[in-house]
Amino acid sequence: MKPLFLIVIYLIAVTLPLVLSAWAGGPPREFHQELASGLGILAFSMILMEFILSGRFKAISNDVGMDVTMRFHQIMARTALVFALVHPFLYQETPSGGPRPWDPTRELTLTTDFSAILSGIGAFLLLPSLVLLAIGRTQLDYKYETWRLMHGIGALLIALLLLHHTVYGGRYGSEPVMTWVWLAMTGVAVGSLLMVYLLVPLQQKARSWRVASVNQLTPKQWELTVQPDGHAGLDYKAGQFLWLNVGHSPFSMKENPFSICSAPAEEPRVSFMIKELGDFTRTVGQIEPGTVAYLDGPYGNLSVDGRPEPGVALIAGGVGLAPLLGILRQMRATNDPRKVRLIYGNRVIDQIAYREELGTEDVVYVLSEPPANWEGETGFIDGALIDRVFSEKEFSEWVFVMCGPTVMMDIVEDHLLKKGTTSDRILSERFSYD
Amino acid sequence: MTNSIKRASLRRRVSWIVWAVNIALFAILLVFVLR
Repeated sequence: MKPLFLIVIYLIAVTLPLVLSAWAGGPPREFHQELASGLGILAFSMILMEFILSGRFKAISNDVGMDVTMRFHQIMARTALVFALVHPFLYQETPSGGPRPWDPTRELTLTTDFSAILSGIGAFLLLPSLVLLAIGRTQLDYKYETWRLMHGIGALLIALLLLHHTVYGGRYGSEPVMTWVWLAMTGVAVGSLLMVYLLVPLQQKARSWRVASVNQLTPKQWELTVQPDGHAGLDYKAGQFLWLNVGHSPFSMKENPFSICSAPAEEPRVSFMIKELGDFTRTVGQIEPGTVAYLDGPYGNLSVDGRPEPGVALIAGGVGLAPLLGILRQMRATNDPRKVRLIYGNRVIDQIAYREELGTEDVVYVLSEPPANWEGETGFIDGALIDRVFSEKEFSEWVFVMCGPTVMMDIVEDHLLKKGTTSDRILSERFSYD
Repeated sequence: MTNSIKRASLRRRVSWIVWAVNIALFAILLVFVLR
């Protein structure tokens, strides 16, 4: 689906409750009361839409890009948080109390029904916790699956508390039409969770994979290859990534996103280049061939398939080589007529993976701590190096694909823009599941 | 100019979407409040 179309759909979904509330609700009240309700309504619908923007729906993330989807998810969560936190304070000086028969449309009073207020207060306290825990996830050093479970359950709890609060406490939410609208929207949000954690694992169970090999590439990098277990395999594009679950139930939270480093032309086996970084990656070397594995995907749009540019520049830092290796392998396997050049940066010589396969033709190796006899490039991948490797013509015509540490990508991106490479020809995908 | 664009392509792609969405949301909120 086209990004613009998705944005329009998002806007319609988020503002639908507001528009329907105006249509179905009673006469308008004072400015600050309407603003309070409006912000509360928007905050709830934005929170419900966050479930769909979780990055696990290919129709969205494969089109606009995973990092854009996740960044949008993060920013809209913060916006919704501000709306939600501000909204109760705007009701100040509005009379409150129990049922008042002289105010049938609740134009003049607020409800003080304890349970409706309590569910609102519960969500009011939980929502900032959820967002703050998400922002500080990397610093807090949670296990990845613990974090996912917490985030999912927290979000589900908030959605249910808000449904109760909106329907029982809200002036507009208590209208029958609106109650149904909120029920339907919450149903879709909760359904999306069920889909990710129940339906997708069920599908995975029917299409399991087996570990074919685990090879040590460098002291801390491994190549894990899986093969389909009685099915045709996977339809993917070079440069995409998958959620990989090795040796656990398909319903387990123990799955991690990894870029595919094999080429679709080499199907049906799928390989991943994995660096020892976290809980799972440190144990890759102990995985036995034959272990069952489950894949979810493919995700991401870091692909050069069908692009019109005459050349493809690949810029990789460390394990960021993985998706670019997939692209390079695919181009070589299909005798792609486009020119290709790879810059591959590492700290020391022992970290260079696939050196024999990559060869030296159209590959520029860079080491920041080179040995005495090193004849390749030295230092970091920066503007000066890129200028040595690519010509002005290539800056203005080629597509640049990069993957690596954030600092490297920032420097390269800034430099490419300075050299006149348009942003639609700079492809990078860095996602963090905050 | 370039120095101010950190993570340029991502920020560019996301920021115009966020701006567009937020302006649209505020406009609709204003219509709701002032109706």
